[in-house]
Amino acid sequence: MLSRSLAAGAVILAAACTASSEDVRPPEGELFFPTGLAVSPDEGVLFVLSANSDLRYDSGTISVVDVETVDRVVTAYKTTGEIDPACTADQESPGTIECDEAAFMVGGAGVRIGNFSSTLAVQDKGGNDLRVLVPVRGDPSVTWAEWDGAARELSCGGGQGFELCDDDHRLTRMRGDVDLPEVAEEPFAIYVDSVAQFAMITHLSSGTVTLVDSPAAGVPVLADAVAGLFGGSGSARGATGVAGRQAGDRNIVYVQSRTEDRIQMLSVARASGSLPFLVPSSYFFLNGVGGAGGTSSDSRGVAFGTNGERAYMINRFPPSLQIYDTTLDVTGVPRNRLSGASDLCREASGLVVADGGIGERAFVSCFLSGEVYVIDPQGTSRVEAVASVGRAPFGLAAAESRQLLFVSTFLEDSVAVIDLDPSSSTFYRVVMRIGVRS
Amino acid sequence: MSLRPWFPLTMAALASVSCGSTAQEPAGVPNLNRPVDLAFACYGQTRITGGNGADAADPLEFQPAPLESCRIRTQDKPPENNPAPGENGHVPPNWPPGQENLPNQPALESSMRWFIFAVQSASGTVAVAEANVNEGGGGYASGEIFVRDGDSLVPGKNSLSVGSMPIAVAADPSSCYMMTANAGSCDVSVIDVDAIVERRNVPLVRRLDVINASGARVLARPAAMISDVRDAEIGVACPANPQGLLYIAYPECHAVAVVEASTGMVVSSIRFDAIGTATIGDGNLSCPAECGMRMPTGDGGRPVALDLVRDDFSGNRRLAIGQDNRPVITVVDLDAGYLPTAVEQVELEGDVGVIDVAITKVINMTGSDGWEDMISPLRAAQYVYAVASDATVRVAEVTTRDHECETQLDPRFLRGVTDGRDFICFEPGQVGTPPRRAFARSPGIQLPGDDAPLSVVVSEAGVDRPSADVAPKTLIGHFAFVTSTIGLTYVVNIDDDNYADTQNSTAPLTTQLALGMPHQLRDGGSLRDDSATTAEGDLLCDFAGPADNEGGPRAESIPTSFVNSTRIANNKGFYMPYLRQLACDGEDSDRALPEVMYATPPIVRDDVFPDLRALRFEEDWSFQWEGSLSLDTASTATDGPAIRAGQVTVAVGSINVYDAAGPYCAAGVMPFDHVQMRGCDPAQGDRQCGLGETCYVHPDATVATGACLPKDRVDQLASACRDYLVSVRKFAVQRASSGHLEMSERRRVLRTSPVTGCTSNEQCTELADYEATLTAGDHPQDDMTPASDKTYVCEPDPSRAPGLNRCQQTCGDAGDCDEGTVCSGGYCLEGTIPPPECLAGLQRYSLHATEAFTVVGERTGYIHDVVENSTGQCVRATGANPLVVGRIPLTAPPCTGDGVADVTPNPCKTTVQHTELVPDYMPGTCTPVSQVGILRTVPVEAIRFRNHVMTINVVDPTYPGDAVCRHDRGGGLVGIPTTYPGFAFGFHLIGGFATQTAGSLLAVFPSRIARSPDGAVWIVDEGDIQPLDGSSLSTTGQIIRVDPDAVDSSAFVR
Repeated sequence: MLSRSLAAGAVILAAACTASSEDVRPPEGELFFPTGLAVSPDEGVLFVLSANSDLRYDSGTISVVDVETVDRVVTAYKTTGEIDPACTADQESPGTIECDEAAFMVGGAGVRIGNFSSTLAVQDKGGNDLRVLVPVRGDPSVTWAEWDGAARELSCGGGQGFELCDDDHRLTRMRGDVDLPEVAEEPFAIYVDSVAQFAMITHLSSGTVTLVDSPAAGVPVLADAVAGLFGGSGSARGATGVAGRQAGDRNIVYVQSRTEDRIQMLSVARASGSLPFLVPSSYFFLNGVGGAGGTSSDSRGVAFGTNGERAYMINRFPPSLQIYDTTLDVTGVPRNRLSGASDLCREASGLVVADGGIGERAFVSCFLSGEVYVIDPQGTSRVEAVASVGRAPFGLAAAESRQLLFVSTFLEDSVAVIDLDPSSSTFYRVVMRIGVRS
Repeated sequence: MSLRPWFPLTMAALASVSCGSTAQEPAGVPNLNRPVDLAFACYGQTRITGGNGADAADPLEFQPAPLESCRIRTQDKPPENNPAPGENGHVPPNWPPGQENLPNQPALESSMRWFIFAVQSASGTVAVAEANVNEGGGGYASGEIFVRDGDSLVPGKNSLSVGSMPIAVAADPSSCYMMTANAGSCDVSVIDVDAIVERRNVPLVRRLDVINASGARVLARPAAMISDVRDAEIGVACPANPQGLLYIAYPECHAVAVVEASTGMVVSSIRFDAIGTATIGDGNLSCPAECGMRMPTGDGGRPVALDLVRDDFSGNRRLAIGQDNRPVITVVDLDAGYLPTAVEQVELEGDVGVIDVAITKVINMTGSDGWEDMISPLRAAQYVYAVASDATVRVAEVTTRDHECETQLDPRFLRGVTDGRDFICFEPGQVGTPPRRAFARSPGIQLPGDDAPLSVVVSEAGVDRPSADVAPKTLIGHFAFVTSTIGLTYVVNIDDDNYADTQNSTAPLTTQLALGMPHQLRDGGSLRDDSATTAEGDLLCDFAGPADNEGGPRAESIPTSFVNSTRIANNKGFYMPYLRQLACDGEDSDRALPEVMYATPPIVRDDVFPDLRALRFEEDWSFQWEGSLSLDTASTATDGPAIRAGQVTVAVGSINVYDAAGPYCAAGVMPFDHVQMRGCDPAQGDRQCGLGETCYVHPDATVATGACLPKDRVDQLASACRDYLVSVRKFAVQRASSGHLEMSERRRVLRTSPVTGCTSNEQCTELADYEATLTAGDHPQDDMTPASDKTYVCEPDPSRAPGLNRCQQTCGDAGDCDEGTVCSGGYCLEGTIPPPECLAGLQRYSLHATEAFTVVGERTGYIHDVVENSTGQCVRATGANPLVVGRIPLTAPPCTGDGVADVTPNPCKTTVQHTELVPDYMPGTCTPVSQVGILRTVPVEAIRFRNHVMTINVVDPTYPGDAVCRHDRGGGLVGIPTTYPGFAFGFHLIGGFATQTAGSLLAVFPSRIARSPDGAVWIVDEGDIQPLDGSSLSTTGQIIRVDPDAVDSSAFVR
């Protein structure tokens, strides 16, 4: 593994010489500026994006971590103190082991994608087969790769071995039609509805929302896009978080903005024989929290709890986690009424909702402070724990049945693993780092 | 403790050194770090009397003192010639026994200081602030309360590390110790106050384990902690350990532990079973561990909120407990040693939890003559205020009634109450309890808008004050203070002893129930009893109300009526429905005054706006014929976007619109409402169209609306879609469900079709001719308008509600139909069902009522009682509040009474006296005598409409027509309307409810509010805010102090 200083040196050297494609090809067993995380539905693997944010290499990557191996190593360490040969005790964090990420990656399973990707989502195609969709900011594109559950590898048309996804797996043009526009710039967050077989992507600079038709048995297509959903000026009309209330035909997808306190609801309509399209529905405002007039803005993440009856939203202004009651009222629409709120760290960047065995909790990554806040939604919510995880935590993903929470630490080139087992003495603490901190 | 008679000077010197070294910070640097709770200590020079009287030989010590020691110092100083105790005008001493000033000794009061310990959960610290004890009470300026540096060796003002995730702090009775409950380590930290203040080099904080009676550690996570409020002796040295009891709420243990502060031993407990029922238990409390190895927890009530009251008048000492997962308030009686003796519980309505509680003393309810001390058994009440998870503040009376109180009584139904005691606590839902306000979602106190309560505290104001001029900021009586998620602190009247308890029918504006009833948000509006009169009492008809939104609710100006001259002649606007007008004979003018204006008599204003609390501060109200059901703009979200988008499909005989979000019942759509397909605005280019589409306007179209068609198929579809494209594209809803509207073609109906149904084709022909005259401005005697060339048939209209025949336009070809309609099947249609390809892709549309005015408040939205039934259909709710109405038809069932409480049927038909300004014609002519005209009051038909905001009479829903001259009302027509789609009237309502908030400073996230011993309320603002523009508040939390006696001012610590 390259340390940060070695990497910097490599960049200088690379600038001094003409680098061959092999020189700048990212190593398969390494995480570099990890961002987005997603756990497979069977909790067998963890997909990790490396954003290649310093352009050290010619591409970013999707790495595949074997969660079962992680679970086994963590369990052994917690129960017997045994440290896997690939790991060492973290000298800075007692009770934590730091591991070479290569030892936990599924060999030959990863692929290469464009740079500056920050989120990804997994579509369940059935039969252990998955599709991984990634908004790539560098291209910009929506890149997709197929996960073969039997072969345990991703593929995206780039040939054998750590392939670079080909153009067919990089959706850049609406409906693939040269007469239609290209995908909007700055694709940011993504939500996938495996039941209704679509993906929705927000765009950070334009506020556009893009719809991807993603039939399990077919090929994804950029089907539709809606712009102008949010106020703002120029390039500051950003759409940020996106999540669906409940997968299926009556799914309602909530989209946030960084420039407005509006939550726009969207649904997807399908007419037989033609591509689906986006239907902007009602909207509501985050008027319930925030001093000096009651507005919250710079929303950075939304996630739904079980059955879609509770929406969790993180905002940076003021820093808060807000919980909205999204049960259906007597008229059949979500109530969208504030039911709880908690003060939060500054610069919250990621959000995941998971139940590790003691009920639903919201986990929020705090980019600035290097923490993960744990929010208990009972009552009107309260901060249950604050866990230190490392520098610049960003993406989160949970393996609920394994009681593990994964947090990418962007500036440490690693993924922190937090113990969600309430009966453990390391409950809500980092027990393992996948990747040696740079 | 050391003896330091010149402590202030020494401290000042130390402070200056300290400031010069490490504690100085640039202006604006935050010293707090998101505080979540606070507690108070009293500190200063104390004469150590050992319980005996003052003696000059007694040592003077700087040390913590019981809170009472400082509180007494905040009282007014007795005058020099103070009358003897018991004599009139006697002022009790404002010093504790033995602490009076003695000759040749320092003035003890000058050194007394409050210390405020603010616990900061995320950082695991406690910040310490201090302020002088102000003799005579009063407030502080910001800067007079300041944060101390907890570590003078480290730069900046440092807080004190106390433990892991402290969530609450409480003082012991001596003020010598502060205890924090630590959720991260499931223990208690004990802070040595004297050591902190003195900066002594000793351990400042020590850990105290909570131990049950069996000696086992209680490792549950606390959610709240308070201490008892027993007396501590003044004038003695600090005890070696904290005194008194702590009450610690353990949600996952389903218990509140009563803990000896000195030992950490649990000596008693209140335990909650699975349904939240409480029992008193012993000290052998066994809790599943939540710190260290976490043990599984079971189901049960989760206590999370505590408050304790000691009422020396009534002698009661009670602990109130809230559970965040059960709709129950628990009140525990405590004995003289503050140990639990009995439990009572009050159930709350609905499936809610309680997140904060506050309990009052026993209050002498009612009275409007100023502060009252003595308790009358018939007026006594003790309340628990509980912040509930439904974003309301619930109230329960817990002396004799022991039930929840309805705080949302609709004042319409309380005009006859003459005894204010009746208002003490109506039980929700019981026989005899008046109806609830239409907008209320529970019996609890509801904050405006989307705001939700966070914390509540009760306090007193105006103690010992006589009554005074009524003003929002003049508080005399008992009040609650409620912090909210948007950073406000609301004032709630528990018992306002400076306002009438019941309404006086002869002076309704000076005795408004919304201002006088208990448990109401306090109104911040001034001059609520003002009327449009001169100082001498002469009426001013042109006076529209005081400036700055003061005064009572009213229309800001004469309501406007939007008349389209292509539909009604400009000089026939009076044919259209409007608001009832009253004759006003004033000092300044005589005029016909719409009933919503300020200069109407007080009794009328009270009838028109019967509940001040129901009104937004200001709001536009519109009444539009066949108006939109949704009027949200880009900045509002009350009833849905005015222009919606969805998928449209075509079936045999129907056109269908779908929205998976299911908004139609929520929008209030009912069968026979209509949907107008909006296509696209060609002025916007193709922006409103989907990918690959263009905004196409058919050359034959008489409406300036395009339709989005595929670019590559425009030529083909222009012909196939022609009839659809050239029509106004209105379709009648036949079936409405939450996610689907099935619609039919909508027929063109004669505007003057009788509201009770037409009787013949010939009648329709005559009425068509009449309709044609409406745009002519001539007097009837001069009107030469040609007869209509359109044909009509009188028969049932399948596109409108059944039950009466309507005059429908018929045709042989397109030329027989009005513009925007097309001929199909012999009828002129406002929209035809096109081939499916005309409606591919996203379609824009709007939802409209049919044959009714829609009543829409800009902020309130369109109000309706439509719900989704079990099959998904949109139906009217059974048992809905009759005031939940948003439509005014042109005919209605007869009214059953004129009283403010006669709310059914609603709307209803009645006859009212209506004053109008009409021309003063010379006899036998249509020539006016003057340009001014005369006022005429006539009985006219009206539709009386009530919603939670207003009662109005819409006069002339149908106009009889004129016989000879305009305005003569001699036309003899009965039930013939003149309205047309788009006609509207409306007004801007001002002077509505204005919440009175506490303090002049906005908080960000005030998660806690507490009361200090001197009666001030302290808002603990956890909120962290750092605006990018740097122009507004930037804090990492703050504490705001508000004095209830000066409720609009405040001081802060940051």
